[in-house]
Amino acid sequence: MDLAKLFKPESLAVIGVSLTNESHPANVVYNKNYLHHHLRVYGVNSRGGSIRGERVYRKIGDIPQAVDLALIAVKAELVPSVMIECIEADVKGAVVVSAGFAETGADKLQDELVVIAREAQFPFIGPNCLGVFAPPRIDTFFIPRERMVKPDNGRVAMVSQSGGVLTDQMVKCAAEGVGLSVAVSIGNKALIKEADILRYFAEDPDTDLITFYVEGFGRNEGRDFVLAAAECRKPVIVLKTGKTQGGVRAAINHTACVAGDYQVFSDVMAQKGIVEATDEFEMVSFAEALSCYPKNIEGRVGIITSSGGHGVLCADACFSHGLTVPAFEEPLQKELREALSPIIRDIASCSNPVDLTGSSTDDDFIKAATCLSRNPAVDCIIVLMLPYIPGVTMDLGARLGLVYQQEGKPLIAYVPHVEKYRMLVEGFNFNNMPVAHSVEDAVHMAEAMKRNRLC
Amino acid sequence: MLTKEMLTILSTGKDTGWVAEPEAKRLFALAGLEIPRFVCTDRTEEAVKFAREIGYPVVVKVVSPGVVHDSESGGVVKGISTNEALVASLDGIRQISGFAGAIIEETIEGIELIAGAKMDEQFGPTVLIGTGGTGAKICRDVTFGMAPLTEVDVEWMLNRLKGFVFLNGFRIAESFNIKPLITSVVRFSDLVMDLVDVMETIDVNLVVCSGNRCVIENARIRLNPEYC
Repeated sequence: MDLAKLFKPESLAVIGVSLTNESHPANVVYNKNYLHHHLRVYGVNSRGGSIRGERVYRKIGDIPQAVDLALIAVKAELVPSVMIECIEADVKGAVVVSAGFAETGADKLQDELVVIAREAQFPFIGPNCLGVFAPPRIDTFFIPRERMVKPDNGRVAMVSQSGGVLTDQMVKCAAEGVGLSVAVSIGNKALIKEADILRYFAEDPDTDLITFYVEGFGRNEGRDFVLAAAECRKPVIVLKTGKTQGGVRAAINHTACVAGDYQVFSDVMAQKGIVEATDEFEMVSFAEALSCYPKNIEGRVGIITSSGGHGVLCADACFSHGLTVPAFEEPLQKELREALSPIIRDIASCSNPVDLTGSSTDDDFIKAATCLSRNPAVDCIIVLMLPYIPGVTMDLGARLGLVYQQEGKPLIAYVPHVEKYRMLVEGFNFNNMPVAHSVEDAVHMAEAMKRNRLC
Repeated sequence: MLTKEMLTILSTGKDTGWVAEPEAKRLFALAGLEIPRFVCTDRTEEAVKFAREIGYPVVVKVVSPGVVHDSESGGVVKGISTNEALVASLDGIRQISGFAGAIIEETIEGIELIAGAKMDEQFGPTVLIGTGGTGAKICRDVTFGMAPLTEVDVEWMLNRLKGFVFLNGFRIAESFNIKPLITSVVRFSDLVMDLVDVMETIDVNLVVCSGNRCVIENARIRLNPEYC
């Protein structure tokens, strides 16, 4: 099945727009796409009429132009017949927003949809989902535009069984400067499953990394997903829920998913080099880290800091996460020391962690980062930025970003995330360096690089 | 590929839903896995003759269709080191209801691991490795992998075990070679792939490794009801 028109449609029919209720989910979708997105939008309602001065068509077949994607937001029992009309009108795919299928016990109705779609090779996302968010092309989320926190456009694809979790992840992505190529809420995933979407985005030139929020896989679906990931040359991150008895019960009520044996899930992900995030924060951190540096590292970390205490914190965290902080040999220490400004040369510690002290300046950080980037003793560098020391300026983010771009060794920065230091954070972000909001978070990012074995 | 002989062994379990000792181990041997030298008999003289041939100590296990967890039913006696003790153990085991014979087998000493397989709902055939022995029953130390497994997968799985430090310790102290263990797990995973339509679960308790040997001490297969 060709999924291209689900994610990059040129025209959209919104089936189920209300003529009287402006806040109906279908109207929210109609309005935001009509006003803001780069595609042709048509309203469909069996009673006809008009909204916003535009004609509302009685059925999809009445629309005179070709329609790529249908958004179906009618009552559950009407969805099968509407889907048949879409197929007859040669629509290329659908997003079924309507709820009232397997998640409420109406498995038969859901199965009916799958049979219809499979026979016609008609791809659809859902039911019980928000669909596709990919501005400026399309946005089928029935959340008013002013209520959404929009992340930047970028190269991460986020896929989720839960529209709510996805929307919240987008808020966190916006805060952390993680840009998205697309966000997809797949709901009950009756026909199009994680593995199908993974195969599509593995080939998508606009996407570098794919994340999944998974409650559970159906029969052998996990196997199919893992095999698809093994073929994918991009990092894949998974956040699994339904790990505990209580979570398993909640997942069944939410998307009718059987959550399965969690240890098997976790072990198989690790076996195949898929990076499992343990919580919602890790998911965003991992996405940030691996979208900046999508390759595998062994995990030999070089730490650069201006505070000795932070260096110790970071070294402890590295060891407890299976990373090493190798002590530097004398020649490397000498090379480092000679590169530093005279004022700190005798007080800096040039083993690992490299403690540049509170008297250091931007240039010392650049020299140390460049030196470690060129030395094979480490394959990842964590820079602990304490912007309150007087010699450090807001330009350091962009300058260290340049070191990463020239040298190619992954650099992760820790900067306290407060408004005052925002320019420094953006300097890193805009130059493709991940920025952590805590020392521990920086170490998690390095750990994600170690666990990412797909590329 | 399952051979005709393997299929015959599997079909013996259709009535009970289980392939247990000694058939399960014979199946493993046919799949290229090492099992202890053993004899299956209900005759005392034959048992004693075999024990003297291979040398004491030996293990005696009951063969009974009713006994699946043999260690819990008193159906296993380990560390038998004299003719008299062997005769006494056989007399004891004969009292177990459903007694159909006894297995007398050589004692293997070494590092104890467990292995297993199950048809997972989400991932299909999966293989488990874990640290064995009494400690393992208290702190479950197992890791799963999706079959079929490569040697790299198996090494990766062993590395994830908390007990791997002990394995490594043994490597140095007892000149235990990890390679035969890896080869055995890969063969086991190949067998699991051959059994996907036949099995529900496989328990291997224990796998004993020493020097260049890796021996399956006990195994049982729960068959897929549809196969039965």
